[in-house]
This record gives sequence, structure tokens and C-alpha cells, in this order.
Amino acid sequence: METLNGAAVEYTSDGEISEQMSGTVTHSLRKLGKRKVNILIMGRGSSGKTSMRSIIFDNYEPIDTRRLCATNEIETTHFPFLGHMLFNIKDCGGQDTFFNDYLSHKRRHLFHNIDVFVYLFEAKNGDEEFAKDLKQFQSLLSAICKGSPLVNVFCLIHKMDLVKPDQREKLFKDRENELINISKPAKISCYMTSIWDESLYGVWSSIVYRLMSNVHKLENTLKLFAEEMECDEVILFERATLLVVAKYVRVPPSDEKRPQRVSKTIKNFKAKLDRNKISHDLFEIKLSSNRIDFVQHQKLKSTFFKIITRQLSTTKNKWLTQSDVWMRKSATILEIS
Amino acid sequence: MSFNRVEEESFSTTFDIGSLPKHYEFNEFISDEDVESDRDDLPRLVLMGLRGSGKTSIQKVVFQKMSPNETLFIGSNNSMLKDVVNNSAFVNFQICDFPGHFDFTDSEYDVQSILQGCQSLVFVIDAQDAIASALNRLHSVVTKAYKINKNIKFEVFIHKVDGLTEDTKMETQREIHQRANDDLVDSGDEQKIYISFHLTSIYDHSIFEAFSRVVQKMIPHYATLENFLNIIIQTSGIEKAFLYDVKTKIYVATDSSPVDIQSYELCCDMIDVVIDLSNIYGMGQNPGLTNDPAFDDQSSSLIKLNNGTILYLREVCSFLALVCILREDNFEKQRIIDYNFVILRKGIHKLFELKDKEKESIESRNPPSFK
Repeated sequence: METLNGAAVEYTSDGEISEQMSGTVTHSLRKLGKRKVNILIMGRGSSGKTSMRSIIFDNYEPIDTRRLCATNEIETTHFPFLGHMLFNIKDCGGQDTFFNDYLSHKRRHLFHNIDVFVYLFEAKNGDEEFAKDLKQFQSLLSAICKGSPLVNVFCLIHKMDLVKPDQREKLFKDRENELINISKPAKISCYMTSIWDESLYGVWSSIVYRLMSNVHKLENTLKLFAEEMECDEVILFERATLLVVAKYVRVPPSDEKRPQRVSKTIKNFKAKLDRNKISHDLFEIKLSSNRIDFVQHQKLKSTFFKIITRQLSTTKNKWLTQSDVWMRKSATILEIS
Repeated sequence: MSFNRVEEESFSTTFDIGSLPKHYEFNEFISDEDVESDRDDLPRLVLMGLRGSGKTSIQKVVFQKMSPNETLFIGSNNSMLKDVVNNSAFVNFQICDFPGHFDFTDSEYDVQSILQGCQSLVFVIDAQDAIASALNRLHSVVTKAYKINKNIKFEVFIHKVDGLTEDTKMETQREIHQRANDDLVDSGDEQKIYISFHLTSIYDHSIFEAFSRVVQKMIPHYATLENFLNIIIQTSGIEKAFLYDVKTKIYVATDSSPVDIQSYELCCDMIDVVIDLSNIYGMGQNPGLTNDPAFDDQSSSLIKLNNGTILYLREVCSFLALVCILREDNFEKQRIIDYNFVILRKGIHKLFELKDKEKESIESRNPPSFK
């Protein structure tokens, strides 16, 4: 709960400071035992910040992001996550004038108590543009590290789909090295992303993973459950965003992007169901070798459980009761976190 | 890292939907006589329409899994495209996509012989553009085709209706229907030629729905299949059953109760998600065999929705799946449903054998010899 002390400051889109309002939000959160997580998304103009946010948190399809227009100053959205966290996402407009503003007028408030800082670089930018980006990133990073020393920094080399497939790996390595070099001593994580594939889910899942204080406890229970039920893979998803909260894999798969791909597929399906105002409670697929189940907890509506089992090892009734017991257990863990 | 969409490869051959386009003869004009004669025994479906009405887009979206947004990049084609759809025993036919400017007198195309083996002629009308000239064209195509082959079924797709409002859609359909029939009355063919009309758009499921109806008319055993499904829904307490071709999401048969487009879409979505997930998890067993579908005859899936409905999917045989919609209360008898399903599957397999036998007997045209 380290983020709760200290005044969190919010900007409305007009640029006004609504300190008092934000104070009440924080206060009521504290009463509920909730934790406010400040996420700052930055990057140059039209690098895809709002598109990314809309896809992950607002169920946009990639193609729909064409309709989005440029963000003016800072757009703040709140998103309750897993019942005990409230994401406070600040999506900052990327035009140069805004940047100067952030670093001068708003410096004092904006960079305080940031838990996650996401910066987007456009992959197709040439070295010259990238150098400009780097400069901006560097000044932002130093400001943020001063204001919030515990920040997690994520750099996304975005719009990777515009780079030829054979050059992607090399470009990413180059950029990553450069970024790590200039941001020392702060630690950063780099990812290559695109809105057209599942990579964004991977990035945001690792962001969530960093934010969970007791994720190891959760993973231990997952492991116990998996062994009891002879599952090969148990993944816990958040319900609305379908980000991976925790997972246990007994046999490491050949394709490590598997959870992300599942996230994306199920999210698409969920979006389609949402259009008809329905949702699925239980979902199982039997293949000749595997069995995939998605179960949703009746009371704790914020999580999904996906369980891959070898077939025939357990009867369904036992499976259902066991999973129910386990879900209740993990729900308590989530609540006390 | 694999990306589904790459700007430089807008026509890339990788599709993220699990099913695989089988014949990848993209824009390839098959002039080879041998190949053609090989496929002559297949029923034929002809696509016609004015230039830019969306014929090729329809074909690409329905049969080659192109994403609708990518069809913007398809240029107009000047030669006839032929493609063979051969997914399951019931869905196999040849598609001929005529260019928009084509003329019956044109010697470049062997119209006579193409229409001779044609079972279904789909005429595409752009609902937003040049309806009058499309109707003139339709009339001349229909009357000429009828002279060549009297068994052709005529279907009109009133296409690109996504740009119209709900009211104008109905009005357009009524108007086109009226005027097409008036034209037939004028030429005195109204007793002989029957045209069916469908409102379609590639941006939603309507094009798949319309194609389903076209394909169903081409299936000789459709009545039997429908009867099968009628029996299974009665005996198992199912509300609606579809027999899907999972590759194209065309339903080859359904029971005789009316089709509600929403439930059809729901089933399509289910097939999509099941195939995607099977591809994610099923591929591990056969690495390297990318053509090997993860979806096999052991596959089944169950989705419980929060409105008390259950979607139940069972694979019948390769690329054919039964999708049922039923109330949650009726699913208590799952064992009965499963048992009934096994019987249904046997029945359908028998139907296949029958079909194969028919084919053989046609091929070996030797009269039976009596002693």
C-alpha cells in the first residue's frame, strides 16, 4: 500500500488541477482497502498510446483504433483491476508543446508516485528521429525517478508490423541496448509490440505481474492445485482485460507466447458476445489430447481460470468441486493482497 | 515473433484464423485444359456482376479467409478466376469468377460449356451504385443462361448493404426484386425463371449466411440431412442445430425451424474461438505438420452462457461439425444427447458412402451385365 500516502494529483483534460477530488478518491479507496496504481503512458505524437490503451482496457478491436483522434494534454481513466487495485491511467498527449509543459509546469505533480511508466517508441523511425525520442525519454525518466523512485519502466518498440520481418530482431536488439545504456542506473524492460498481434497482452501481463505484491503466494496455490488435478497448465486471467495474472506451467510449452495468444483469442470472443449482451460462464474444449477449461468464479467476478488438463485423469465432478475450492482460496489471497 | 498483418505483405498468405485456405491459387488463371477437365465432375457455381460489385472480394472473404478490410486492395480482374472448394464431402464445388466486363459473345470464355455444368449462378449487385444498369445486366445474363441450361438456380446478392440503414435495406431489396421480376414479365419468362434475393455484406455474417443458402441448394442430400437434424432436435431437446463446414463457416444443413441470424452468428463465433484455441494447443503434437488441423473428430466444446443457453459443438467428420443451441435445463441429459449424436454421425457417414457410390456408378458407365 505504499502508494497511498502522498497527495495524488489529477489533471482533467482542461489541464485544471483537481487535487481535492483526487484526494477523496484516494481516501475512499483506502477505506475499502484498495490500492491506487498510477500508470503513466507517454511517447511522441501518434505513436499509438491511446490505441494501446483502448485495445487493452476498452475492448477495442485493432481496426477500430483508426477512429481515435489525437489526445489533447492528459486523459485520465480509472480502471478497477482484480477488485483490490484501481488503475489510474494517464494517457499523455505526445506533441512537443505538451512535453515542454509536462517538464515545466506540471513537473511537480505529474511525476509523483508513478508505479508504472510506459514509453512508446515507433519502430519505423530512423536513427535521427530515435535520437530525438531518446532525448525526450531521458529527461522524462530522470524527472520520474526523482519523483517516484520505485517506478517500473517499460519501453515498447511499437508498430513492429511496419518493419520487415527479417529486420525486426536486429532492430529491436539495437534499440534495446541503446535504451538500457542511456537509462542507467534505472532498470527498464523493453518489448517489441504491435496492435495487430498478441504482443500487447504479453507486455501488460508483465506489468500486472510486477504490480502484484503477493503473486508468489498465488503461484504456489496454483501449483498445488495443478498437481492435485494433474493439470499441465493453469492460468489465471483477469476478467475484463484478459491479462494473465498468474500462471503455473508444468510442462514448458514450445511456444512461450501461448498465454498471450489465448488472451487475444478469448478477448475477441468476449467482444463478440458482448455485442449480444451475453457472456460465458463456462467454456470447455476437448481435443484428442488436451482439454481446455475456462471457469469463472461465481462470486469473484473479476477473474477467469483456465485449466489445461490431460484428459481422462479426473472425472468432471471432482474437477469442478476441486476447482471451486481452489478458486475460493485464491480469491481470499487476492483480497488480502 | 510473427505478426499477422504486415504492411508490405497485405496479401500475405498467413491468416490468423485457424482454418487454412486450401487451394492457394491466388490470382492464378488456370488455362490448363487437363486440370480443368479433372474438375469438371464437380458442381459449378458462377459469380457474375458488374465491375466493382464485389465478386472477387466475396470469394476471397468466404473461401480464402481474407479479412474484409484487406479486400480494399484487390484490383479488378480481367480474366476469369477459377477456384475449387473441396472441404468436406458436402461442400465441394468449383467457383468461376467472371470479370465484370465479360460478354456472352466473348470467345475468350467458353461460356457454353461453363454454364452447362453450372448449378448455381450468383449475380452480385452493388446496392449503393448503378442499380439500374446492374438490373439490365442481370436480365440479359439470366435469360441467356437459362437458354443454355434450364437447371441453373439464380441467386442475387444485393451486396454492400453495410452502408445502408435498416429501412433503406428493405426498400432496396423490395425495389430490386420488383424491377427484376418486371423485367422477366416483360420478356415473358416469369413462369420459368425463379430468382432468389439475399442482402449481403462482407463486413458481417450475412455473406456467409447467404452463401450457406446457395450451397445448400447444391447439396443433393439436403433433405435427408435436414431430416436428420429435425430428428435429433426432437429427441434431444435441442433448440437449434446447425451442421457447419468449419473451414468456411457455411452451414450445410440446419433443422427446419427458421434461422435466426443472431444464433447463426453466435455459432460462427464459437467455431472461430474453438479453432483458434485448438490451433494454439493442438499443434504441439504434430510439429512441422502445419496442414494438420488441430481440430479432429475427438473435438468437442461446450460453452455455457449467462442467459441460460448452452452451445454445444461436436465434430462429425473432418471439417464438418454439429453445433447445437439448447436450454441449460435440457443439458442434464447430456448422455442422451451424446448417444443421439453418435447415431447421427453414423447416419451422415452412411450418406457419404452413398454419395461416393453414386459417383462411382456414374463414373463406370458400363451397363450391368446379366447372365
